[in-house]
Amino acid sequence: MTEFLQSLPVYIALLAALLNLVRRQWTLNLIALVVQFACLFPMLLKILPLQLALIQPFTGLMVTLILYLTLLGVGGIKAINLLFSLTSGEIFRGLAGIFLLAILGTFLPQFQQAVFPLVPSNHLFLSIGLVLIGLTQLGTISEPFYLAIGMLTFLSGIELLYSALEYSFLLEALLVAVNLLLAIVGAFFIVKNAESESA
Amino acid sequence: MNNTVIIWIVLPALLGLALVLIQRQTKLSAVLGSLIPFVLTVLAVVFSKGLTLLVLGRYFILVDSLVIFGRTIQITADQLGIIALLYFLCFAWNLLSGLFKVGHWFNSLSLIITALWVSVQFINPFLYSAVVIELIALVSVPLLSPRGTPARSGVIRFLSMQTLAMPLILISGWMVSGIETSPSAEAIILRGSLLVIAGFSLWAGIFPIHSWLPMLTEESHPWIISFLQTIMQISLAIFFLKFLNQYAWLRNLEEIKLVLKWIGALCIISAGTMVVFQKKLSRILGYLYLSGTGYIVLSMAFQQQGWLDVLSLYLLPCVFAYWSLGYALSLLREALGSEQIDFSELSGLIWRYPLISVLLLCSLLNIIGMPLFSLFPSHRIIWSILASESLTIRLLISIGLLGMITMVLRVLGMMVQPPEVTDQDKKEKPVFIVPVVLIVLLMVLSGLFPQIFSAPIQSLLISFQNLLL
Amino acid sequence: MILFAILGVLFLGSLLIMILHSYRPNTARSWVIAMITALIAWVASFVLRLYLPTQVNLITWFPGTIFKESLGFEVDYLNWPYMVAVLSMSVAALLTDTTRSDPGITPYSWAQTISITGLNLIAILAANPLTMAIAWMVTDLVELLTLVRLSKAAELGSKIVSFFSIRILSTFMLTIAASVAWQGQPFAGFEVMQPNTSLFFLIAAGLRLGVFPLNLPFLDSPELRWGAGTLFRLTPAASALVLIAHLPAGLTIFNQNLVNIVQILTLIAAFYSSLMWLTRKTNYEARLYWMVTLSAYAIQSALNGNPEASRVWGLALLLSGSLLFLFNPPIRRIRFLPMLGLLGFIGLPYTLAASGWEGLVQETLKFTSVIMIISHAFLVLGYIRHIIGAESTVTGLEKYARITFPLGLVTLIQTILVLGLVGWPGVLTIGDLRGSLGSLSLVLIGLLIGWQFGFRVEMDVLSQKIPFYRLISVVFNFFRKALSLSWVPGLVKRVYTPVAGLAGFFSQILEGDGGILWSLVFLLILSILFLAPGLR
Repeated sequence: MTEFLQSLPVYIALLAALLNLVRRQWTLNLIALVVQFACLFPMLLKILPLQLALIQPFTGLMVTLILYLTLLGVGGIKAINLLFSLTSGEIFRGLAGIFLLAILGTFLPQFQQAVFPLVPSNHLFLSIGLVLIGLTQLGTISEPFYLAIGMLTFLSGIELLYSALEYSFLLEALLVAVNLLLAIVGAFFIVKNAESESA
Repeated sequence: MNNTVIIWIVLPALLGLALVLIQRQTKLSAVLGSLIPFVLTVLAVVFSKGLTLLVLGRYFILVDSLVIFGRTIQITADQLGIIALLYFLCFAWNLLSGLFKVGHWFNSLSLIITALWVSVQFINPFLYSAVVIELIALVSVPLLSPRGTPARSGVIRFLSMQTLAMPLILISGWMVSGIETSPSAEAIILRGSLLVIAGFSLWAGIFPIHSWLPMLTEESHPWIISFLQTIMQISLAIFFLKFLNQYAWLRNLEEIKLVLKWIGALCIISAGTMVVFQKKLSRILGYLYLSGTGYIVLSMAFQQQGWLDVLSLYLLPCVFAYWSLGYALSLLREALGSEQIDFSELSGLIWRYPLISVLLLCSLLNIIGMPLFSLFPSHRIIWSILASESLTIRLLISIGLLGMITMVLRVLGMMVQPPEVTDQDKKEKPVFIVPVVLIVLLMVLSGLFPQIFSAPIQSLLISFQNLLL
Repeated sequence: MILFAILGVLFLGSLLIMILHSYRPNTARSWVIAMITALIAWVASFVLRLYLPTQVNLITWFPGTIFKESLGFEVDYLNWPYMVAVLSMSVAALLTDTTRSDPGITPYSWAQTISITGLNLIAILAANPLTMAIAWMVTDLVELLTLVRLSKAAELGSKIVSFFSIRILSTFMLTIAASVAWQGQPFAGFEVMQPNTSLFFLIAAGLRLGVFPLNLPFLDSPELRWGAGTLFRLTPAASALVLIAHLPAGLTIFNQNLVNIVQILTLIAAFYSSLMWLTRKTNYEARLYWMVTLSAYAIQSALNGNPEASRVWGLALLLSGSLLFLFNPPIRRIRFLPMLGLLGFIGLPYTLAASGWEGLVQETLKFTSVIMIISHAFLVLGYIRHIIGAESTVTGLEKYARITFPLGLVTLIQTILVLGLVGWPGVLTIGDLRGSLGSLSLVLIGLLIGWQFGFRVEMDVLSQKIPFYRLISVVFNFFRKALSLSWVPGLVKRVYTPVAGLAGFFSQILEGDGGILWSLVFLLILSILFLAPGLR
């Protein structure tokens, strides 16, 4: 039971990332993004002191806030429609994501032993899982908002992995700047697209 | 203020931010945008002999390091040559930026981007520079995708690729950190090298992950993209040298030379082949960068006596070649009122815009390395070294070069076609004759006397002690 | 010093004409300046004979490294005759221009004549392939701009491109050849051309000789048919001929089979072109075959291990050729003057081309030697035919033109004679009597037959008299089409369209929505290749 509870944030974060990959509904995606970033906190807390473990989730929340405010500005925030049927594209993306995670899960022990022996398996599973889902997101869509989510997911996976390898204040500061700039760039693209659509 | 890091990284970045505030005053912004990098270039050249300077009986002594977040950033006198080159590049592009519609952001962001590229070379541990490169990509977005236009796929692809590259470099550093004590060093070395090469491949856009290059050049103003790509190509080349200089295991790996040769050859042939089928000059620019990357990689693959000299001799003519081509394409874009400069718009160009046509033709001949022009001496050395290589690599490069020649002939063919438009009169301002003649003259003079470009940068890469064989 | 004076005078003269004419146009003054300039250079070139061989180093690239290379000039017995020939042609072209009333003959065309002569001299005097490649590029660009200026009226756009394509390809080939020939050591001269790379140099020279494509375009332009046109066509060949003359004697050491193939192709080209030269109606139409035949002789000499023998055929191409082509208008009563041009290539003992037989006729008389002798006879017969066939009476010539026109032709004859006497040590020779007498006999027989036909070649008469005429004409037409390269654009288009489609498809995949995933797949494949021990 304890083991399951410890793994729960991993599954929730991956589920949120999968939801972002599958479903294209802005409000839902923002909530999923918040959940995804929040779930990083317990994982980080295992290896970092509280103050440092808070940086990445907090940055994630700020990033989501920037995106939320932008979407609000262009009228993109709408009520969530929970009654929907899945399209073939969504099914495909969902299956692709699950397939990737399944493969990752299968080969994780060997991978861990060969490349990252010092990283806990849950930690590794979540970080690589986020990287893979982020990459799939990047490769399957060209809409700026989802590409921003894809890049943020990918980066959060990398940051999570790297925090287990070594820690540097300079690097952390730089990565925070990257995340925030990425959100601003995403917002910039959303506004530009909205402007050109209305023009 | 008497710190090298503050003078050449912090201050220019802050000045760049300050320029944002006055960006609406375009003339002032352009003047300052040119003046600041010029002064920084001069200072870098002056202090490159030593960090102490005696002026009017007063000594100016610069401190060479600064501690940020517990990490020391150091810029020594030896390294100021590289800084001078990068700021000179920024100056060269800012100088003429007022002539073209490049947007209000160009002067300020170009300065910030240059400061960031300078910081890439000196951050310690240098692997963290990967994150700064990501920051540069993000800062470039307002230049690449100005307001009023929708977000296009090229810039998004560019961002994605730069983001993918960053972790590969970061992890490579961690992976090889304990290489000396590791029992299975060979496997780790291979993995580490693979990550480094993959990271650089994504950054530079080598074949077959180059797709963003032509996409980006197609979408952007030639003056902007030529600046961003040139500074990126040069800085990445120097950054890769830093890897080679720092990591003996990477430098001494037998496979690395072979891989670099193949990467160079593949870049040259793919650019040469694809360029033949292009219908837009803007996309051709992208493939020219791909080919340029190929030549730089090739020059790094042959680590024999004097190879570093060859590389440093290549850099400045290379910058000049991109600058002149960017200038020609920008003039053409403004003259024709065309964003992507389609081949069909070139018909009769030589009679409508003779000076721009001559400049374009000479710039293209220069950039592909034909005799008489500035890039020829260094290209020739690379071709000569290749003579002892395997037939396949030689063949690939020859085909690539033939493709480039075909492209120039296609452009010429379009230029001398009878114009489709009814108005065939010469439309060019006579004043263009001065810059065009000067640029072509410099191209030719530096092709005949390579010393013009080689003398100022002879000791450019002197700080890479481990590479000076 | 004299060398720089020659080049300086030519470029300054050209500049002076342009400046003066654009401010205060005066045709006579411009012509006099051009004439004086060319004459000074021409006379000075003879003075240079006293200082042979001379070498001038201009610039050294990358001193102190293994990549050290030099740009410079060299005047020796191989290129000095070419230098004199080109300058003579320039003088002759200016002198004979006085009788022509083509719209293209203007002070600017004279300025071009002397400046292009100067540029070609740089290529001819180049001390090594590197200098030559640079000189070629300058010449090509200047010629390109000149042609573009002329072509607006004539709409020669695509033809200009084919002209420039061939030229730039030859420069490319020369650069590649020089790079391949580099042995990891600094070099100063043509000694860098080793047998294993000679074929590349030969291809570079072949392309520049103007052999391909056969219907070189710009001569169609009325402005360029005579005078400057002759120079445009013939002088670039001079530097290519110098290159051939510098080829190592041991060329045949390298891949004998490949050399044999080139040799057979050259043989066919020589025979076919000489026959075409003999049978074309006008010398304007036949001009190209003159070049091909003599270029083939030069190449054949190099392939036979006697590159120095190529020199006389090259000189014949330039001097005797320009003598005939500048004989326009063809004034009947001075027909004997171009006839003297025969001295430049007939190859009889103690004439200029006597030493050239060594390159064409081998020690043991082989089938190839016989073909060459026959081809030479055709060439001589054709030359005689074109002079005899050229007849017109020009009236209303200015008084000065009655002197300058023949004087121009005499300049060339005089150069042939001078070079035949003092061109290089050993120029006065008996030569190979099998070749010279064999060719002469055939010429005499041909003249007898020609006498029968009244020196006219009527196609319907020929078709009746020559056996297998239809078959022969089919073969000839095939050759003409193949060598004209007129089929190339069609073929290129056929290949280009599907390949362009494929390239477009490839780009579309890489640049489409799934492009990032494709990039990652490629990256993965390359990584596997890098890591797989068997593939490393």
